[in-house]
Amino acid sequence: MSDLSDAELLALFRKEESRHYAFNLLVRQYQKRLYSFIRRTITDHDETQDVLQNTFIKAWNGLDKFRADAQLYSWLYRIAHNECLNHLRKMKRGIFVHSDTVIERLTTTLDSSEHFSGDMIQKKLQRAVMRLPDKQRAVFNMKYFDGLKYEQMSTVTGTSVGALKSSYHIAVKKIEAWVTTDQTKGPQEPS
Amino acid sequence: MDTLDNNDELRSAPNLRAIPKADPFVVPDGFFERFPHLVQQRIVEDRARSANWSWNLSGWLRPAIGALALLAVVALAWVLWPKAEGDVLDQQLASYGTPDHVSDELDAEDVYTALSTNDPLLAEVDLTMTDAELAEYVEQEELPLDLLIEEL
Repeated sequence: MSDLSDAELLALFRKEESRHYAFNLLVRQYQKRLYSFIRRTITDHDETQDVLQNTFIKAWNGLDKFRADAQLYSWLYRIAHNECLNHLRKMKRGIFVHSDTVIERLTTTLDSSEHFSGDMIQKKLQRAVMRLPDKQRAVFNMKYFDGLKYEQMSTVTGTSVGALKSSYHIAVKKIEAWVTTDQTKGPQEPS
Repeated sequence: MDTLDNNDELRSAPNLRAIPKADPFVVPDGFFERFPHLVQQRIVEDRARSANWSWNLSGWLRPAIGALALLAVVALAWVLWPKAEGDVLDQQLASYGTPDHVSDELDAEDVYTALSTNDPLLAEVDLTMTDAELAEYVEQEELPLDLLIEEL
């Protein structure tokens, strides 16, 4: 079945008899893209599943108030982005240690072939991305991997386009430097 | 995809640009088929949970909470009211204090004399008392009975 437009989904959702059906379609339509975004931030599959579920539950609770003039995908992305940041905040509070330990925990997944299928260079890239601060990492992932426009990213993050451009530019420079250092070091991991 | 913007930014990052874009994270088989059902299940569970909670509230809990709140308000009023009234009276009395220039010049005897004159205002006041009222007055004022008998 081809994807329905936002307006069609919302119209179905607003009818009591097709509410669950419409939401089921919405989940099927957006789950993969949102999963990828969350997974790149959280890395662990089980935690990603929890965050993705929370994202859709919040969407279910708030969809009645959703303004039809906004883009559904941007709105869902915004919820997912906030849920990711909340999850990382909780993770840091729970671990109660230096941010390096959080990065270590996030990158553990990359060492397991059960969870990560990329080659050495992909692993290096992901490790470099993990070293970025949380918000900058989200900006990099949205732009580099998901190809969002700055205007969309601005809606999602609530940050100005100018600030997002600077943030992405700095993130690219950092990652380039880390990847380059790694390549000159050979198979070693970034310090 | 906003590749044009990406290319602009990546022009100065040749090593990053050389890495093929891929999604290297492994997703368990059948996850995306199962996931929509998990979400629906959670929605139903959440609804049942909130329904249970409201049922508990509508049963015995809601009147109990109401009664407790009412008790708390009454107890609070009980504790605070006399204190508040006393404070107000004290403040009022302090504000009605006799000015120094008056208290220095007035003598209790002068006041007594003035009051005992044939003041038309006082004449309108009925000062007669029944025996019972008089007995109560004497008891309240703790007047010496022998002096009273002499007066009579």
